[in-house]
Amino acid sequence: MISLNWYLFVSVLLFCIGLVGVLIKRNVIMVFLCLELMLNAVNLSLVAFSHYLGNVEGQIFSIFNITVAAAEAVVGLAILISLYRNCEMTNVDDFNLMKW
Amino acid sequence: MSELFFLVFSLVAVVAAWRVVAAKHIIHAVLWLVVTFFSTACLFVMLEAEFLAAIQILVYAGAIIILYVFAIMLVNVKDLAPEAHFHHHRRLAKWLGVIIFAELGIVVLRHFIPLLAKGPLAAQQAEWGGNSEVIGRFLFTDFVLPFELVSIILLVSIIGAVVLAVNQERRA
Repeated sequence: MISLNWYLFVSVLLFCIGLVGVLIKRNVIMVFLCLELMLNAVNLSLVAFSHYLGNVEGQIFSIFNITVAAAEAVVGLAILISLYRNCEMTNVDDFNLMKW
Repeated sequence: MSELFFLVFSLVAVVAAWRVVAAKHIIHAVLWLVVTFFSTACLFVMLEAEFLAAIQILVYAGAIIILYVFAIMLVNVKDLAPEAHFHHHRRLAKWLGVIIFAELGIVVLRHFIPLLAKGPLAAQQAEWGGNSEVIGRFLFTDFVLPFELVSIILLVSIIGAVVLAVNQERRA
């Protein structure tokens, strides 16, 4: 029987890899991919808690989480395509019009 | 036996996640992400969340990844060249990741979390017939308001995607 700690540890590891990816990547699509990685890690910890507490709430919450991730990907990629059509670039550092 | 499977699946998930971040070409990153999602789905099966494992493969590894592949095809992404002027920021980000990982890892592994009082999930599954039945019942009774809100979020994102991605010049 694997204890809850190890599932949470794997989840933390995946989350931190995704976090580093979001911080170091400069391509918009790569940033989105690493964001999906972080959301997936959170889902893993929710399901682990759901199993070890004997509650279904964690699984339901992670269904909502997956739905919101899908919505985020759709809107983000639409913004990306719209930006690419206007200025032909995908580097996040180039998009600084609204930064300050 | 379950320890062995847990070790294999979590190792595959973590290594594939690392390959996502370290990939030289963006399509390789997407394919490694599929591997991570599949092994996370295997971990979901080990946690007796079969419905969620199926959803993970259908929605994440299926729909969302296809969306990313289409976006990569539409956008001319060059190879992910390392940025020369960017090393300072990169090192800072890596150290930040290591620090957050150390913090969270210590918090997670410091105490052995005992098996708490088991809730009603196993009994409900035995009574109602399975994991998806339990999720369906709860989704349409106790969680019906969040469910409707999520459907509104999906509607808004559909309309938003159409509005954002439509070609303005051609429409005018």
